[in-house]
Amino acid sequence: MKLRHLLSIVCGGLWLIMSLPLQAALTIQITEGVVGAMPIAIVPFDNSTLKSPLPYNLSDIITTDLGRSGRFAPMPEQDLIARPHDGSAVRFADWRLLNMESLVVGRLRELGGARYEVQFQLFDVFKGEQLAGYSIAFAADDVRRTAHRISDLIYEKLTGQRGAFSTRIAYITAIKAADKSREYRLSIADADGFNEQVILDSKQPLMSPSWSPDGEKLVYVTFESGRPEIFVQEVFSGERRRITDFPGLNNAPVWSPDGRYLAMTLSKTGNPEVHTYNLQTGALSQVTRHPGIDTEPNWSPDGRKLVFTSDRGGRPQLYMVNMSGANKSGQPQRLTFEGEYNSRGTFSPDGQRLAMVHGQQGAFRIAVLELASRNLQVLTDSRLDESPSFAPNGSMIIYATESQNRGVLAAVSVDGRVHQRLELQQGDVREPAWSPFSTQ
Amino acid sequence: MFRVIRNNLVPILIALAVHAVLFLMLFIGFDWTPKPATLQNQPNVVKATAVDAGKVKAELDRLKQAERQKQQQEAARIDKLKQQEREMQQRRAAEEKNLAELKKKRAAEERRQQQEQQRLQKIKEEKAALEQKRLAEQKLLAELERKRKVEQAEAKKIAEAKKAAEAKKAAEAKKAEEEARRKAAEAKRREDERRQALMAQLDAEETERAEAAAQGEIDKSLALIRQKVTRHWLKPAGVPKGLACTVRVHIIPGGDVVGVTIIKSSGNAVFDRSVESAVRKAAPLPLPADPAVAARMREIDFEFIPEA
Repeated sequence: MKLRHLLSIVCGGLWLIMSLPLQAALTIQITEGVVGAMPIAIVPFDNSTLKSPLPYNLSDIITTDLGRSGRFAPMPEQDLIARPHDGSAVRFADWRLLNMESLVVGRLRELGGARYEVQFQLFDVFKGEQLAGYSIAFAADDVRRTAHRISDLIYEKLTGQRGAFSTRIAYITAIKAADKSREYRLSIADADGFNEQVILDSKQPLMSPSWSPDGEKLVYVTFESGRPEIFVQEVFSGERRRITDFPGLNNAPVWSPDGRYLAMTLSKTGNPEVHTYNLQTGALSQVTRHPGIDTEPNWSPDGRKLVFTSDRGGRPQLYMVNMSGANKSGQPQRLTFEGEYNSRGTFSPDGQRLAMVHGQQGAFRIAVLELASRNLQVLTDSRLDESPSFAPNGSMIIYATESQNRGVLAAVSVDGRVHQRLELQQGDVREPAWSPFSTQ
Repeated sequence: MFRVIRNNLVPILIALAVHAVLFLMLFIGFDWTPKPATLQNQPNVVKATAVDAGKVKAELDRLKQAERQKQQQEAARIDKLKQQEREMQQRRAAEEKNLAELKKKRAAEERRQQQEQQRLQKIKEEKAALEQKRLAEQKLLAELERKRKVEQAEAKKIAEAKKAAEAKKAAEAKKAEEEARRKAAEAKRREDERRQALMAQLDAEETERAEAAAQGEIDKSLALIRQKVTRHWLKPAGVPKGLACTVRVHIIPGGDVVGVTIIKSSGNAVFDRSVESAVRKAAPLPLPADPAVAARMREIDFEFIPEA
């Protein structure tokens, strides 16, 4: 009896052991997926209790923000199958049928004194779980900023990366005045092109705006004295100071990631060369020394490399040189070999890619070079694109392009799938620069 | 001899008794002579004592009275003795007469006894002859009996042998029957075993075939599921390379996903969520049509290992 007992235990144990791997044997390996935008439904926020409508529709702004990032495919409003305003009214099964991975619902409330409050919730539809829920108070003239903040929160929650919707862009516009003279403006706007603020205007050309790492200053080239000079200007106070006015070119200034140096093109030696400039001491360090043209420097995010454009190989191509602080260490190496023309190299925030203007058969387009693989991907399909600038989260690139004989701003998602024109600005818009994350 | 005595016991006893009585009478006759009375002559001695005259007189009277009574009794007694003497004489005469008669009787008796003895002798002889005859008969009978017993024994022996033979025969028959039965049972058992083995083999083959079919179904299903999940997996952009995540997915009949457990996280929440969403979005997962086979796919581990 005892033996039989033991036997049954042993057999049972064996059975268990044998059946366990059988269960675990059903394993499926998924090595591929689709690359694409995440479906999200953003239900218009309930504003039925508001006495007067807000100047902008929050959920519209959020929908547009998320859509143009390329990471999301918001459901068109007319396709929404239900319009719940809080979690208890959500029927996940309905949204699952539509394959919506995420759902945003919310409502607005008047706080009085032209102040409002928005409450919103973000849901994982397939899990049937709330991922985020916030309540934000705002003033009537802060509707857009509030919407961008919400977009940032959703973006960060769903992609794991910081949203860049609350950042800004700087750009130059040239406006033809009635007297046929030209007026140049340095402006700042929200990343979606709204809320334009002119921070400098000039009868002479303005060029190459670049943000300080803290987002509080801009460096640019101005011809206001008749010849190029480099200036730094406080964004909010408008206070500015001249940095360089060397003979010849004073071009393409760009801040080092630590904020201590500027890299720029100077031709004081007779030939355009890349230099670094110590903002505290004013000391210059020449980085390139070549009879060809070396210009358009740009720092890697860790400050240890400098990419620049050079025609030393015959045609403009991108080169890279290692840096030790303000000084080069080693010789420049050519980076680009594809295409007849590659210029205006700029590092992605993670330092793994370079965006550039890529010229091929007379067309200049925005392309991205994967540094590790040396894989070049052309993102745009226009004729004359220039000045690419990464969003601080690396998700998008803003650039200038030509539309109906005028410069306009456009944005493309880094995967090249989502293109958007920012056609709010008047005149000929050029040289956009995307701000870093706000430190506020 | 005893037989003779026993047969004539009464006359013998009577004879003996008569003899005894007569013999006794010889002596008793002497004893019966009467004895002289001595008491009569003895004077009564009176003791002179000063007593009352009346009393003396009364006493004297009483004594006189007692004397008279005594004399009367004596006279009666003598009379009686005389009487007895006469009776005795008479009786003796009778006795003598009886004796003579007895003598006569005895002679007769002796004669008769002789006759009797002769007869007895005769009887005895007859009896002996009879006895002899009887013994012979007895002997014959014994012989017969012996013979009968021998015969009986023989018959018994034969019967026993017969019985034994019969028993043996029965036992053999029984044995044969049992053997036949055993053989039949054995044959049946073998047949059963063969059939069972065949059935088991058929079952095994069937099971194997079913198993192969089931495995085929499962493999097909797994491939379909893989395709479907791949189609639904939105690889998150901008996450670090080399992430991998394994989830255990619980499936109910019909293919709906009821539970997704991350058993090996990638460490990246977005990547993990994309994996979980992919599996949930792919639901219902294509399971085999056979519920029994589908039941073996209640739990599937998905390893998400993006290449490059």
